[in-house]
Amino acid sequence: MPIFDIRLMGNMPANTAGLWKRVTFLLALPAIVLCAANAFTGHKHVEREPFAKYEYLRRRTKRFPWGDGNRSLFHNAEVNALPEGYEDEVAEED
Amino acid sequence: MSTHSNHPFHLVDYSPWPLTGAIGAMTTVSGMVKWFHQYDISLFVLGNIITILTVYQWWRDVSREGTYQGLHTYAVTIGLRWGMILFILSEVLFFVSFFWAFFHSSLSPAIELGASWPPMGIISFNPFQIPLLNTAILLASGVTVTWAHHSLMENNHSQTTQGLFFTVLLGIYFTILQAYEYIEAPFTIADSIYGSTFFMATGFHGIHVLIGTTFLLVCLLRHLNNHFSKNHHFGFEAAAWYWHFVDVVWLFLYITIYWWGG
Repeated sequence: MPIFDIRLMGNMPANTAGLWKRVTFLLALPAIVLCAANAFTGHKHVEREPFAKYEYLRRRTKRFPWGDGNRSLFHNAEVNALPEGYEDEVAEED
Repeated sequence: MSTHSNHPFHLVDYSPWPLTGAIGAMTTVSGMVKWFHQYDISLFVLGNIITILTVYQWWRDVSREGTYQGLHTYAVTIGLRWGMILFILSEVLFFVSFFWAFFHSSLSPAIELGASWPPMGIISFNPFQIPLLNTAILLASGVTVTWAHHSLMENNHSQTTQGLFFTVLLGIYFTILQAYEYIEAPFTIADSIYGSTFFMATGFHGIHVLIGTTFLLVCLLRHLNNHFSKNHHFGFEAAAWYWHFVDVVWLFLYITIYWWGG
């Protein structure tokens, strides 16, 4: 008998589907419900960080290959600053 | 093709798909170069179309060979198993490179970042909110896919359907939550090495979740078309192995990048 027999991979004891069904409905899905309740009720609004012009943040060595080239793929104007500052703050200064 | 083989192996017929797959891959990566340098996405899109048409028809042919033509003997499935294991091994090493980059930067943060991790100015995610929910979702989907597998081996068609359906649903739910996290992220891929390693690791994991979900959806469709038997269902097993791999990668991601590195 080889230590590792690939023919046996995927073979499991029979008559255990019921066990996994019970684990699904009694353990796995309730855990999701609890974690979802925790995630969506315990959420606190985090104030955005004041803009600070660190040289290692908001790096633009080349333009992004989409849009105006200055915004990342998942850009969120409210919480993602551009290199010169948050868009609404920059607009106020102008 | 002979129906009187005196050997258990599958001598494959001539097929155009390796050639068109190579053409598709070359066109896709050339298209990426053109996209990034000339801001023109057309060649990239063409390459993806060629690749998608190729993979659809190639795997369709493999399903036909295995399901209808009876060419996947026991000996052939052993080769398929080794192929899938080696593919998953290459994926493991793919992710090792992202974790290596992450640990390289996070274990000894550069003085320019304030010698701290996360770097000054980065607000990281709370790991005990949506990321914890995503962990529960992937672990649960590991349970549901195992339920489907055991049901299949017990010849229970309806339970297999339910298990696979739940698994696909959970995969989609994970992707929706991850997209929400990306949109709400206070940092971007361009925000220091933290943002780069975060989005590279979680981004590629997210793509693998999409691929795994698609793989499982294809298995669900094949199952509904009665392609699988209790003894002959390696396509499903490959999808389940891949899904368990995606699950394990997320556990490492969650513990190292969200929890410890957050």
